[in-house]
Amino acid sequence: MTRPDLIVSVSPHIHSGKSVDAMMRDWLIALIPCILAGWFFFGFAALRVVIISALTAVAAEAAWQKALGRPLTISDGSAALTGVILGLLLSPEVPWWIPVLGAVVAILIGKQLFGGLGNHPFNSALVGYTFLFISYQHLLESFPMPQPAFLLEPGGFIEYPPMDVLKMDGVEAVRDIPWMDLFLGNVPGTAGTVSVLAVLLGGLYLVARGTIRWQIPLFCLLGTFVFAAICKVVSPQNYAAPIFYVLAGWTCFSAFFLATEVGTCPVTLPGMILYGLGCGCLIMTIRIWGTYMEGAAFAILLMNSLTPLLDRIRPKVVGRVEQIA
Amino acid sequence: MSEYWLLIVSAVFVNNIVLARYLGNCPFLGVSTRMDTATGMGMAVIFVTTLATAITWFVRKSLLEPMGLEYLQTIAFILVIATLVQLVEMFLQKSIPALYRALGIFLPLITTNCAVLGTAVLAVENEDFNFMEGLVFAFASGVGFSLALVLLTGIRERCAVAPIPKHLQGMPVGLATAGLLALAFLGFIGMVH
Repeated sequence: MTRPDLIVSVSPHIHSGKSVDAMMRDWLIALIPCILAGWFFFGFAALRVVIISALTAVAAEAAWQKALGRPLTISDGSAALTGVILGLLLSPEVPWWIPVLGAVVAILIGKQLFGGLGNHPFNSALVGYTFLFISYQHLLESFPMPQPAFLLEPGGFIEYPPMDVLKMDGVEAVRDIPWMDLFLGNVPGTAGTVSVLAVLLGGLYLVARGTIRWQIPLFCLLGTFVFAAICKVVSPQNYAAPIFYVLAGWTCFSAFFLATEVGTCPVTLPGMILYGLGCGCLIMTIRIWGTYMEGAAFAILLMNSLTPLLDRIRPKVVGRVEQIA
Repeated sequence: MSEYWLLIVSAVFVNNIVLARYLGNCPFLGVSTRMDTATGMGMAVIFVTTLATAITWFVRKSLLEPMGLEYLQTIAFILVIATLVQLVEMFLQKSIPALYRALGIFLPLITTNCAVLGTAVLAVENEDFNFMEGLVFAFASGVGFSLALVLLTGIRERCAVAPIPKHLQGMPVGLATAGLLALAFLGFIGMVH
């Protein structure tokens, strides 16, 4: 079949050459440091959760698309990505059926129900996670102590994740946690979120590749930090140092990997800035005044629901037609 | 002053009338397909809940309670709210046509909205509320309803162009979205005791 010399089509005409496959590959590469950090601190248990979750996610997507007679898209890696992110959010100690259930909910309700990749309004991995969290909170909240594979001494400074310690035992209990332990991830927690270093490696790779926009993570971290700083200034004895809120818990992982999922975050500049700041402030709001230890999952879901409204803030179109004759 | 703030945060976010108490689901799903109708509906609900609570407060405190007729509350409230809204509609049509046009069809529609009746009952039956707190609670509940409605509308407007499986289009996805929105709002639990 010969192609015509001139092809008539609608814009855009210039393609960067990036495909969904390449984008998802970038994401998966960016998550490798987090997966390795999980293995480094928690051993094979962390890998087990990630692998089960990823495999189930792919199987669920394949089954759904087969059942509906839609083209199979599991080879683009988006289902695997959702599974990996969900696996990284779960404690390495959960029973095997937790990641299975979570991945099925994430893929079917969080993603495919709305028409698949790019159409779902809420972060699919977080839909699965919050579903599990609400239903099986007691199973999700037991965390193993970090056992670094080599080089580092086991952290052992606290027995629960730092945010839990802060909530239950107060500011005094977290004052002496070495910043280095928090930064490297030498504290109890989940495989993905525990190590700020790993998250930064992967996140900056994504930013450098242009897969995510830098505004959202930056303003999310900034929002968290400024909110915490204001709290600290207002009543110093009730709050930990602002940097603690950024390093501990889910903050960094949320900023780089959860808030930025394709299709669930705004695309205009003011939208992205407001979205990032909103994520940061809501994370802190739920942490400080809410019941739950870690507010990031709910904060991101809430901001996801605001995304269509934030996308309405757009520049005026130049030279628009006043009235069609 | 601070108790009013707590009341507002509680009614708008923590105990959101739709997403936490599951009242008023009918208009919530019915008019959440277009943004302009959603905002109109939201304004009408805020207006009517506040007004209805003010009136039903007096109906309960100075009519039903002295006579020992509390068991007639539901019927009395429905009657009062329906009549009140019709009266207000006529009044607005004549005196403030701009507001009447902004509220449009939604004013008569929400006479039978259970969010309005529910808010009035919740406000009037709460022994801790005085009249002013009841009014603020009703107003904030209306705002919470509008907030949830606008959020859902934004998402459903997007879903309208998504390749959703045919048998799930419209209401099924709307319900699923509302459920996920309620899931997200669970994050506010515990902020107000």
